[in-house]
Amino acid sequence: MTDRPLHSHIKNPVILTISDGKTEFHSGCRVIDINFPNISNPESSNPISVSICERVGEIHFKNSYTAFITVRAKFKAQAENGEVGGDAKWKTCVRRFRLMPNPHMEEGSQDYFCLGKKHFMNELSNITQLRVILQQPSPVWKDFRIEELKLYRSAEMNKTPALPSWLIEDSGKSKKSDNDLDNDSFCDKLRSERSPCLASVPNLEAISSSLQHLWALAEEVGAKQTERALGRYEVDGCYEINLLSYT
Amino acid sequence: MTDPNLSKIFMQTLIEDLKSSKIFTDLQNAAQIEITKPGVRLSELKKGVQAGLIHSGWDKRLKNAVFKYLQTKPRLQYPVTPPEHAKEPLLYLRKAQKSSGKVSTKPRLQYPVTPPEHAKEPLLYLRKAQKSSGKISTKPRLQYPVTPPEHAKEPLLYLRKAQHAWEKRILKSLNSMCTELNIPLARKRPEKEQKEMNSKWTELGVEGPDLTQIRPVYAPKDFLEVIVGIQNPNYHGDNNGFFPLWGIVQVPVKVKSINKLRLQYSEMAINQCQSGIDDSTDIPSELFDLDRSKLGKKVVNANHGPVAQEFSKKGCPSSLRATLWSQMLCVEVDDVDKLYYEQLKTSVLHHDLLVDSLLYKDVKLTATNDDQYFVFEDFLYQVLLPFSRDTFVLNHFSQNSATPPKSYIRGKLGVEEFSVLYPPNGVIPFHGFAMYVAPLCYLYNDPVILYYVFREIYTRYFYRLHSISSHHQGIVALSLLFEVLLQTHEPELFFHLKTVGCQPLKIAFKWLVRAFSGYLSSDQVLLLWDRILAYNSLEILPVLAVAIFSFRKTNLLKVQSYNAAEAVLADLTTLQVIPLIQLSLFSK
Amino acid sequence: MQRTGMARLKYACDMDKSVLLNNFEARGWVPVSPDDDWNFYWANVQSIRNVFSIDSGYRLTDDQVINHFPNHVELTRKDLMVKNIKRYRKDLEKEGSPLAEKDENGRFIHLDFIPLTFMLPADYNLFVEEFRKNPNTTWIMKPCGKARGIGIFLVNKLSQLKKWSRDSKTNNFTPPTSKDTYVISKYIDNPLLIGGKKFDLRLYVLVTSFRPLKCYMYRLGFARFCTVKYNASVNELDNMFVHLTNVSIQKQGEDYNAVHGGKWTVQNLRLFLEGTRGKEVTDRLFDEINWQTVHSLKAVSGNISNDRHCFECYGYDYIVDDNLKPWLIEVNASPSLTSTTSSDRIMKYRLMNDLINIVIPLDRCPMSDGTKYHRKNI
Repeated sequence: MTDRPLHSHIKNPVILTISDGKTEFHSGCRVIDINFPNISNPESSNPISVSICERVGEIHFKNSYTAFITVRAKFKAQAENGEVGGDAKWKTCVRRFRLMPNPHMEEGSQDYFCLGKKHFMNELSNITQLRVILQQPSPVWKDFRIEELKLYRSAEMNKTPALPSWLIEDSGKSKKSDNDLDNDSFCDKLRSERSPCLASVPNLEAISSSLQHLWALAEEVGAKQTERALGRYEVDGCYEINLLSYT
Repeated sequence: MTDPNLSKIFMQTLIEDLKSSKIFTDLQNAAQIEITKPGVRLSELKKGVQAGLIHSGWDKRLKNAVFKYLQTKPRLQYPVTPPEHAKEPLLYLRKAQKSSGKVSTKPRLQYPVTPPEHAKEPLLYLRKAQKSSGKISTKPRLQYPVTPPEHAKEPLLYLRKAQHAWEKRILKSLNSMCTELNIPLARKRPEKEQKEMNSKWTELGVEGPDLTQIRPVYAPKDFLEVIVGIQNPNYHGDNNGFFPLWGIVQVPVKVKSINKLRLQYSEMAINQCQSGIDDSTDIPSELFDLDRSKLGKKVVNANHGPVAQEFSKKGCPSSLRATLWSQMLCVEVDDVDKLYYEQLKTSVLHHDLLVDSLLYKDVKLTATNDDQYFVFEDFLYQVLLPFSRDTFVLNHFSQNSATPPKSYIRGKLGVEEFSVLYPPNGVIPFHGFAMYVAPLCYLYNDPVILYYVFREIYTRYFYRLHSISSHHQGIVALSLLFEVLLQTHEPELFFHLKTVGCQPLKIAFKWLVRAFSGYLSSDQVLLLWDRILAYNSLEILPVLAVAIFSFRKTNLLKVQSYNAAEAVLADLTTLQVIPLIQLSLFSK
Repeated sequence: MQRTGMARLKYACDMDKSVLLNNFEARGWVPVSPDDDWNFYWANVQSIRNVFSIDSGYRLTDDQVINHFPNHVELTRKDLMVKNIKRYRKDLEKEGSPLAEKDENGRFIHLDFIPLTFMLPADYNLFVEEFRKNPNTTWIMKPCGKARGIGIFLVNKLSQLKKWSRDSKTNNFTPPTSKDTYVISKYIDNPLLIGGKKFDLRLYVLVTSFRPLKCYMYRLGFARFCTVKYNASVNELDNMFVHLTNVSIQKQGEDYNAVHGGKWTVQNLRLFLEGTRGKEVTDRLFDEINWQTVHSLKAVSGNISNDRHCFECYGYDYIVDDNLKPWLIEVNASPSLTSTTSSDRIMKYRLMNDLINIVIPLDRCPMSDGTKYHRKNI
């Protein structure tokens, strides 16, 4: 999928502290606000441009020592009776998703993550603002954040390639391919029509169908070239090298 | 795998991999043969062929191939690189490969593994680094975030950097040896020399090159210094007093607790009979040994990897060990493999590498001086020299945090088409490397089989013992596991040693790096390596190390210096490893 | 360190070997000269001849033990050993014993443990007949009276044996001394190779009595490896390093290593064989070795004077061929007690220790006040 990330304004993370600025307080909590570009909807009666995003399907990011992530979204208020107004509501979409199994230990600390539909408690459509809350309760880390935060529209990342049918089919039934089916039915018909006198002559249809089968196999082999290495390490038979390079 | 998408992708990758491997072509050949058999009826073509294949044991081979794949491939992470992307990220080149039908048309892609540079490029802007340009790559298809390959090798940036710095040191050392001694890194052998070497192939130990000037590139203790020096820049460490660890490893990787280890190694519990204790000559063989041998023979006949693994969890009887190991590693040597080995041998004859002298020196320093392995000196050369020419080994670098060293053909410095990897398999040997092979000589009398078994064991397990990574079986994690276990269960001992200036890891490290080869007596090493293969984990090594410290606790508590402690732990040849491990894991 | 209850015995020792002397001192024994009243005498073969010669008038008392049998040469001289074994086999065959069973080629099934051997110059003609039957085989010539690999050479052409051919033709009735006699045996050209190297096995056997036969096989033997690659080509016949495994010869080779001395413990050998060949065949090999030892001792037990004052520690040399069949090469009366490596020294020390414990069990020591004490189990 070559989805390009959605346009969004990602603000710098804000560290939450107690309002009294004097005391040293490591809350272990950061907030990232995400706004969306203003879109004016020419069709609506109200031509005021509004920051809105139609849909967010997936959120991708690289972790950097964050232990938990929470995503809250502010939904566009429902238009009631044709009026635009009413309170926009904040709803939690992802509640304390655990990124690091053990906040004190390295595992998961620099991994890549993808939050998709199955992680979302509500569907993220028609949202005006996103808030990503990062938490890291462990005091052993100096800093924590997430990087490369990108939002995507589509719900599916990679169209997972379909598994071959032979893998999915029930083991009990033997589904024949169309080729075989045609051949077989044709052969059966022929056999029933044919008189039993030419028993010693090989059944042409049988030969041709097995040949076809073999040909199909051979074609498949040709199409799937092995990626196996040939094992050569020289260049044109020459391996006279200088010193090792450091880059 | 809980995520159905991920498991689908995993299956897809598995199928792709199998299709491009030799077993697929063999299977198709066999299927074609089956079709021609008279017993197959057209109406039931598929069933007939399937039955025929099962009859000749193909289902077992397929199962073993899948098993091998599962053992060797890591977990997939989101976002997932589609398998063809991992092979070659650039679509136009992928298409070119397919249409040409050959391995590659462009010379730079002759190197059997697409160097990670190709895959790394799109994400250049991610790496802080030597490349100061930091320009955003302008590849035609910038795909949305895929896990970069270096992330698969090692997710933590500072560890990647540490590994990189360490590699640079090794390269510098090798380069300086090259210039000081005026020996080329690689030299083509003249015909006469090639013939001579070929005639002496089975007795290379008799007259090797002049090794007086050669010294090993590094030894485990140098490596330990590097590991001890690694620090996470984002980590407060024990300034906070939060992590009151007494040991010297400062990387906070998660390690298993003893309860988890007990669960993992539950088949080794005291109430279970084990090879290595209960089959000794003092105990009447009816109690365990005879039944075990009978069961073992059945397991061997089944020829199925997971079954062999389950059986070996309690150790292998000595006469079945060679076969069981081959089954667990899914190593089957056929004619193609023998030809490949001959090809490797020819490569050894064609070029003389500086790495060869390093290997010679290593064998002379370690195995030749060991009264258990000196007999196999010549076999070691016959395995190690071809090993360094084997580009198949490069495949394991996708999971290894290390990177193979690079060089350029003389006169073409900087020209990518003429860059090569050195040595061809990318592995630079260190002091003690030959000892990874030595214990295997007790099992395989044929150098070709010995070679393939060694290659498989190395690319599955042993490479982790000498590269810096956060993997839970990497040497960093194993060292940390050793220290944590020792501190938790023998605090008095650890503290005493620490106060007299002896950090326990400094003594145990060399045992871990060599997987105890050369330190224990050979039959014990084999019993230990049984468990490594059967439980698919190197974590038994620190468990044993802790057990040894525990066992010699009384004497260790009396020492007053580092040297005295080393002397207490100098000779391990009388130890029986299985009872020690049982004592340490299950008796507290 | 003196063991409680043990008297301070008097020992005489002809050899200045630490593995012996350390054992004596550890028991608190008193060194005396061989001419004095000793309880335990570790003698070399020269002194034995003096002690037991008819002229010397030497009588051993009840509390004296000596480490050789008077006519041990029946077992330890190569030609006599072969003669005794051949006779033993014939006797068993005559008796109709199942041990003497032969196969369809006429070879003994259970008693085929020495390679085909002839005495020279006495059996020269027999040898030539055999040689001509299979002209491509290699034979090994060993002088009867020498040890440690001295004077041994390989033969694959009759011309190499001109001297003995002449000797056999002369009508000389003086029996040849051991200096002039040689044995020539079929060379085992398919030895089991480990790591491509040839080896032989040295096992220690203690015999305290021949009739009834009481023997003890020491469990820590060792395998001695050739330092140079084994090469069966004819050109290499002259290269003694390849073929002979005696340590004294190997020591001179350039590749000889003093750390391990080219020796492997029997444990290592067992481990290797079990791993590469299987447990059953390995067990069978060691079983056969035990049986061959017993047969060889039985073969000479009729001839050796069973002096109750004597015991002997023999060094048995075996070669294992590629089919895992052991062959008895020779028996040494004075196995070397020199140690080449530290593990060697420990092993030989322990050997001597166990030996002394068997020969002089604690309850057989004379009392400290000198009263004579009768031995059990005569």
